Amino acid sequence: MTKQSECDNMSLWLPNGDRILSIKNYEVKGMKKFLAILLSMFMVLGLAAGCSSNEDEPGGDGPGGDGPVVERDPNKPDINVWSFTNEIPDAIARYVEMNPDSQVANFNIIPTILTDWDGSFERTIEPALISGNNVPDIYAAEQAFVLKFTQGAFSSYAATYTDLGIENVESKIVEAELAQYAVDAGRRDGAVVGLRFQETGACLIYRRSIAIETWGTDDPEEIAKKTGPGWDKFMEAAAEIKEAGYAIVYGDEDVWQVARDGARQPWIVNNRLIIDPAREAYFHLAKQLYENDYMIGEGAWHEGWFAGMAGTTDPQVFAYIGPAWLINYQISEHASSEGATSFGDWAVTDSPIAWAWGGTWLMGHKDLIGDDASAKRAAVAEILEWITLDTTDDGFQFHFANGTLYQGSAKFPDEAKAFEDGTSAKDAVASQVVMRRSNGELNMTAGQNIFDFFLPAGANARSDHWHEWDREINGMFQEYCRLYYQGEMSFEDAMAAFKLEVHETFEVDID
Amino acid sequence: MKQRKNFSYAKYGYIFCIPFILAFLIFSFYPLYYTVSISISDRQGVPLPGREYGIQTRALFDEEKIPVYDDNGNPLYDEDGARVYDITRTPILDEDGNQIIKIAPLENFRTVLNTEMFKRAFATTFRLWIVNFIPQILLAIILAAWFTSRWTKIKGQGVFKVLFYMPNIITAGTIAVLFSTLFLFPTGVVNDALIRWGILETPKNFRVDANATRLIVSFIQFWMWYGYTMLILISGILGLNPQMYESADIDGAGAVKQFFFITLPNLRTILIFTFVTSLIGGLNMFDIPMLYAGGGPGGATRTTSMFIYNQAFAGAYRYNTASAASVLMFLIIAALSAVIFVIMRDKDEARLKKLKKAEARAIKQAAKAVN
Amino acid sequence: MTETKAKKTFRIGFKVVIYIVCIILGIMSILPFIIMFVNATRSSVQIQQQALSLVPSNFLADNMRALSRGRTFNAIVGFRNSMIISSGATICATYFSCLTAYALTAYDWRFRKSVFTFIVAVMMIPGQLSAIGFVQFMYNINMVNNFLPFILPAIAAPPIVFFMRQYLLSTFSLDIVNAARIDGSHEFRTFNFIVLPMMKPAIAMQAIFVFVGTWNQLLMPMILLTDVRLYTMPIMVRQLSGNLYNTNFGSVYLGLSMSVLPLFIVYFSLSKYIIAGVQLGGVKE
Repeated sequence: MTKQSECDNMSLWLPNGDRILSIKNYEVKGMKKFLAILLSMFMVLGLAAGCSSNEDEPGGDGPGGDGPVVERDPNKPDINVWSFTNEIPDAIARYVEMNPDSQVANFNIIPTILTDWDGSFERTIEPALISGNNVPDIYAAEQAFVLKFTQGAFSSYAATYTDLGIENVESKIVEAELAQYAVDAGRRDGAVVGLRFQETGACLIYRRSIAIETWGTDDPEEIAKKTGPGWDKFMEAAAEIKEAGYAIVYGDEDVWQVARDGARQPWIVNNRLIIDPAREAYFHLAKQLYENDYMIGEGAWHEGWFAGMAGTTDPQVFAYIGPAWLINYQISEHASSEGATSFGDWAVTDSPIAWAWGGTWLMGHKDLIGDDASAKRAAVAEILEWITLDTTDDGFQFHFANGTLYQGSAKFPDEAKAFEDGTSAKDAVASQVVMRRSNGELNMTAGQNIFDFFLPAGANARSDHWHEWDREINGMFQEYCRLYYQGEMSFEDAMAAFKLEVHETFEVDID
Repeated sequence: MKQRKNFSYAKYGYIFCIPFILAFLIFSFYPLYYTVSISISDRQGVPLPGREYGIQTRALFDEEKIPVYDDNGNPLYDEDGARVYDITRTPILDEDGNQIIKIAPLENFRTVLNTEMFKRAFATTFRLWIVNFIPQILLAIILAAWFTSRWTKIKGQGVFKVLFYMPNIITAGTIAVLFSTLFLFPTGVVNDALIRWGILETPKNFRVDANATRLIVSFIQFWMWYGYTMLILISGILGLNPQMYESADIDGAGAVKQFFFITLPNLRTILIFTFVTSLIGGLNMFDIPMLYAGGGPGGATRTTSMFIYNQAFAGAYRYNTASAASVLMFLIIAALSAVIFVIMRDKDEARLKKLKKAEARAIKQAAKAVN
Repeated sequence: MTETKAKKTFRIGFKVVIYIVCIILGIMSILPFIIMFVNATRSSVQIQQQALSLVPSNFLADNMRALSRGRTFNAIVGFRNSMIISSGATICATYFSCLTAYALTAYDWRFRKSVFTFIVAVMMIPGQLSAIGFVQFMYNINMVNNFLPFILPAIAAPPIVFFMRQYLLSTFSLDIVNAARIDGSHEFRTFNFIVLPMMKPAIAMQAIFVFVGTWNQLLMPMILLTDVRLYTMPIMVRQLSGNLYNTNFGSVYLGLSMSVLPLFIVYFSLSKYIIAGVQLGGVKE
């Protein structure tokens, strides 16, 4: 092919005389080609214009593609659901499957799922909210940025639950026994605009076999006494675990999350940057872990971190510190993947420091309040109430805590099979009433009921130290801490560089 | 080329340029004008507390004002139980309750120029560009010379040409992921290899080393773009008049001599094109430093484009300073491009032009004199 | 041609060096693709343990299944949307750049020089830097969730105009146009049916660059296309890692591989023009 095409074009490179000849050859070929190009151009432009009008259904959509999970009936209006995981969009689809007669079934559920680990979700939903075009009807926010959507820059786009038509919100919150701190984070000037369905108080999730090898026991109560409370005890345990040939945690991020939540004040108070002592202490904690080889890597949410869960790192990782979702999704998946050595080898006990991590708040868009959106508003209210406030056995939270949501689902065969196999997730939920009725025994924990520890874990969690710019500022802080503990920068330089960066990015005063 | 002046056809010159001009005015000029207009105002991107979005002004919601907190971070209330707002940071409203946008022509520029992050980002961007551009253009010129040389006649050069452009096909995101795995700490391929060869004793964390990260970013840029530059240069060389080489052959000039005395000088226009487009691309570098290094460690790979992006979109929504930084970057790029033009312009040709002009003037005067 | 023996040895040695350099560069160019395709056939755990491998595994089907579980991943819709945007932008960029370049070379009109200077000057306007204004403008004229903001701006592509003009300067002769005029061909027709086909090699080369660049765009489409039905392939691949049950690296690599396949097809079908080369005039006029 190479040779021939070289020859084909040779005539073009000859000096003037031959050129006209070759051009004439092109003339005939070129006509057809040009017509084809012109035609396809109009087609493309036509298609592009067609796609722009929102009502039109562009052809070839819907089922039949490779992953046609978004079912879309052209006769039904859409409810746009934005989230950073498929959890909520799937749950809503399952709700429709279970309640085909509900008003939600009169709508298409259109999910937009963007990962939030690199900020993609925020960077995309923010313009979508501003643009006012095809806005999210239901949208999720995570702890790291929930305040931005409930109280901060983007709070005015959220409708209060009451305005959406959910009755007696406050008394239902009391009945469901939702944690105060999480409800507070979802209030805008006193009125609830966002609620969450998960409880995210954290525990120490550790490997039983490593505990036995190190201390001769894997009893959660005993391990809690070995590893805590407090960082001093934790470091002692780290030394003993290292002695036995293991690392107590994977990397700096595992400890950072805990240290971050130990703060008593938000990053910014009265437009001034505050470095809470608990956060400053993280610098020294990380250095200790690093210099003593108590950890084996850095960061989280990458291959290495997950490999620690599968038990395939060298040395192996003793523990992860996190909420119920961490064991239910990340650890479960990676510890049961092929080649993993840690299946069923996990147990849960108290975290050395009480704290909470993550959680998904759900908001409804303010445009739903208008009169012309009443049907959609009712459907959205039904969804939100089912997920955040319904404490019955049919409510989302009871299913979620007992892993029964996808039991017998035809739409979600993989999840239904997981239920049959007894491997479905049993996550801690916001309502303590539901939690007390639920059973958190997992195969992954060799039958231990994880709720014994997760139920009280949220009791001491708080939200008054959160800030809408947490994600950005946390990122900068971690970055400079990493440079400090790995010996690239002095403590003073790292702190100064951090402060300058916050000052210049957010126009806040620094000391 | 201008054998015949035919005025009836001249109008097509205008007509055929209309689509370009229109599209330029709508999609480039207007946004640019908009950016400039933001850069001299105090406009912010979103209804941040006390801040305003977009062209239209509108009444502020109560919750958009900036509340005052006490030292524990709890909101302050006055005697009547109403929240206390920070008046100094709350915008001024007109009678209809619309925010008045302040125009301060130089304030944002002053802010940006006083920002350490911007100055550092500019130095970083320039450094990253130079370190990748010099080897890139050198390699591209060498390869272009090889592939067009009648002396070496490389077999299979078609395959090589096709291959060399391929790094440009993959998305920056994928490349960032691949290089992250290559340089992973502590067990990446590079670390393994360096330890096996005895260059390193313990694994090195490339991510916290500012110089290493900058070098890797520059290398990725180099590797992604040398093929493209090579293709453009080959095109330039192919367009040179073969007669020049023929007469050089007759004069007995060798391949190297021909390259330096015929190819390079005549390639000037294409080289200027390459330099300028690469300068623009390089000073706008964003994807690789962002996706591979996140601008780290400690801002060591933060480019001006990232600075602008962070100011505008990452939380703070400071459109005004971001726009001012954009305008500054434009001015810098335009100035540097002008420098390239001046340095690389054809000095002989310029002199010739002057001479021609003088000659024409002389003829005119002579004609006048005759009349 | 006669050569001394020493000269011949030198020449062969020189050639060996060239081949070695080229082969190393070639391997460097192709390796990432191989790694990507191989990882698409490996399981998550295999990738965790050894991220880079040249030995394919047998998890392709599993990864495919995991991919199809991605809630917003629909390869057909993604391909279609990306195809519309990329081919639209490519056609606009190449066609109108040729037209503008032709106007600048074939006709002698009063502002020709000034327009060319203007185009060279605006070439220096970095597109990225007016991004803020562009996004705001698109919001204001309600161009969100529309493909046109990605296609129409391509009409004004100063570097491509410059490229096309240089190409015309080196290959084009007014004689053909004059011949066509004598035949009574309209100017627009002459351009479409005689000049345009003549410019095929240059068009093909720029088409590759524009197509690849547009296909791989991520930031702007992510901001302006918020409707799941309008997602481009790169956005869909981006979303794979947002799937709770899908921290499955194998399927992410499979998604990446799939998104690069159309580019391969376009690239290789046009690669004969890269092999043959395009001649650009070096002289200004």
